[in-house]
Amino acid sequence: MPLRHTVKVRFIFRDRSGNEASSHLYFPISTSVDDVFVAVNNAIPFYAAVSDALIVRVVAEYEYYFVGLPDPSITSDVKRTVLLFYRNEDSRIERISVPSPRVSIFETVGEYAGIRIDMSNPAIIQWANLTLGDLIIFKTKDGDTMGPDLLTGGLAI
Amino acid sequence: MPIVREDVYRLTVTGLDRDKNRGSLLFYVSTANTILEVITALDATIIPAVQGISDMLVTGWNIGSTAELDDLSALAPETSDVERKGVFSFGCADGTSMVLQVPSFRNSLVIDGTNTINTTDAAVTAFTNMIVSDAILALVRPRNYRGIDVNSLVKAPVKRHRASAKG
Repeated sequence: MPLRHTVKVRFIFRDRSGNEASSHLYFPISTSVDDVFVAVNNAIPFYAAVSDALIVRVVAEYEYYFVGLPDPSITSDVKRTVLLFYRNEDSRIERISVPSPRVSIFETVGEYAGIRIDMSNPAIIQWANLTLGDLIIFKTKDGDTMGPDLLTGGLAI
Repeated sequence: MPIVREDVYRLTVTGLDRDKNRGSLLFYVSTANTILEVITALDATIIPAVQGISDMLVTGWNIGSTAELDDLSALAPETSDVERKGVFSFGCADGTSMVLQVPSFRNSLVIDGTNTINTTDAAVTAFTNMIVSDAILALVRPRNYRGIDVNSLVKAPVKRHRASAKG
């Protein structure tokens, strides 16, 4: 079961020299992100009255972790990664890095055996359906839509 | 100056390998989705899809929503120094304490000749009331990290110099 305590809100301050430090507030985990930012906007004047640094960024984090988990797989190794490449609507290439890829998702024959992802693998199809589907809208950091294509040639590194 | 919310959530799924090394996947998700929708999708589809292609053990996740100052080129006053912290210790309803620090605490709010913060100053009183009083922030009041109510200052707040990320 995931443990759920609070929403952690980091107020990040910057001084004249560009140094940064943060102050944390916590709110009940049931608080919606919109309500969190209402509280954040109300809290900023109180902070500004006692601090002469600039609040340059505020990050609200919902964090969960699982307990009572089994041991990780004997084959797992997060130092191995696979890069999955996407082409977005303006033909820019985006990528997602996945640690400890399963051996089974790679091609098994040909010169890229064990290196290039097998696009017919059910787990890859499930992944593509998730990241390119409409249920959750995945984006790039810049806010561009992820996809519409998951490209062949995802590579083990 | 106003802060502006980004139109993506930062979603990090973390896991462990057999040797207890930690790995993570980073996604950006449209804020057209609610946090609750993302949480529901994590349990139903996102974590199963991650475990389908990765054999690290997913141990948790983090959804972050960020707002930034609308003018990031703005400069703080010459007097600002984020290593000069105002350190407040609050008591909580479960008997524990919570330390809250304020970077670049104004020197004018520190009693001369001491490192003690002047708790009779209106700005300091308003700041501590923001933490311990209902309804000042509207909708919700702060808690400690375990979600327990914060009650009152348990000792005089002080100025301390503590490290920061360097610019």
